[in-house]
Amino acid sequence: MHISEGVLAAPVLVGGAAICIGGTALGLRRMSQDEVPKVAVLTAAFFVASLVHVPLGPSSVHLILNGLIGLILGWAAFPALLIALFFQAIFFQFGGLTVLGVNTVNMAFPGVVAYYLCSGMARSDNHLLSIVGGFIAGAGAVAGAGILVAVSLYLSNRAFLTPAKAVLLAHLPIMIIEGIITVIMISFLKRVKPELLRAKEDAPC
Amino acid sequence: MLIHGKKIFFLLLAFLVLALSVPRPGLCHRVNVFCWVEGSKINCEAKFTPGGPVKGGLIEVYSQKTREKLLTLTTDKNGRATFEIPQEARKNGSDLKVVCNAEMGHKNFWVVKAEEYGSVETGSSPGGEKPPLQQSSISSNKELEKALSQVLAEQLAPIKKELAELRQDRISLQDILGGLGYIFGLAGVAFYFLGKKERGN
Repeated sequence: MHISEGVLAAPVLVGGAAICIGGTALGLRRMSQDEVPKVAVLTAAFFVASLVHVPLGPSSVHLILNGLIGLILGWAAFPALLIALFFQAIFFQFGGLTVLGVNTVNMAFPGVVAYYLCSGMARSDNHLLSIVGGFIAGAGAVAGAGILVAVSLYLSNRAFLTPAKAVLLAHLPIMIIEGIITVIMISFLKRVKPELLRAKEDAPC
Repeated sequence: MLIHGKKIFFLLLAFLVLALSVPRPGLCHRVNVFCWVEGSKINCEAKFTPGGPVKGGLIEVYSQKTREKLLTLTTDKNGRATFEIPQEARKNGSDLKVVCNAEMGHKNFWVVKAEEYGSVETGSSPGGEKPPLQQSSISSNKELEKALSQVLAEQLAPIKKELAELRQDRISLQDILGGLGYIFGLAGVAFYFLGKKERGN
């Protein structure tokens, strides 16, 4: 999911960076002091999640967690993922510094969409609704990230359909696993730490 | 809730089995390419980390000095590609930059230094400073040298490959812990500023 250095065209990089700065600013503005530990823990989780590989047949899978992070953090997913991706780029050479903006938007934006579309459902006391909401958030955010990766490649003058299809096909298993993991996490958090999922007082802008 | 957990677990299990059959190169983080010299050839291997070889990846060889593209190849099903060392690179002693372009925006490169392949003779070199020996002895000497260098190249190739593999960037525990430390350190910084703001209000 990390796009490498030197693949994208300059306008795409600049556009991605601009959206990333906007999203990060919004996320930071809406973040209160008591939310900092939550953001830090999820940042750390994202940072290491991609290192834990479960071998699966000829390849291996790892969690992405952008749906879960979006559900819990909302716009704060932008600063969280920006920091996590920054350190991944520096320490692990995943992605790179020039593509940092694009990669952040690709990961965080679907999370924010998941927050607006699914957090109500995921928080609901109705079990089925909560499961459906969590699953859509988890699986959808991975699919969204895949589509955004394909769009970034397309905007840099590449064919769209083949990479898009390849990305979605490649991520089909992880989409479903991610959906299931998100459901499990949400139901666990609801029992153990329901305030983590509580809706914020302020209205979404 | 327990029933849900069980159901979810079995769903997950069933899915893992299904997922075995789907190839998914897109899940990796980056592509690694490394090359080693074997005689007059350069072998390249491209791998997704984690995950298997890069099948049908595009390999482009550039001259580091002139920046021009010398060769274009594709990797085979083992992620390997082999090419003869280009004459023009040998002539001007240029390093070779091997760029691997895999699908889904993964790209990486490896530099083969000129001194790595420069010592390998191609065969007909016009050196004439040797003491005049018997004709047959010269030719057999040369042949011996050639045969030796070929055997040596073959035997050294696995070692060179291993060295090249070791030279790749790897993720160490220090990297992981360092990153985590930075993240929590930043949280501390955020606390400091937010606390200052809230005290100010």
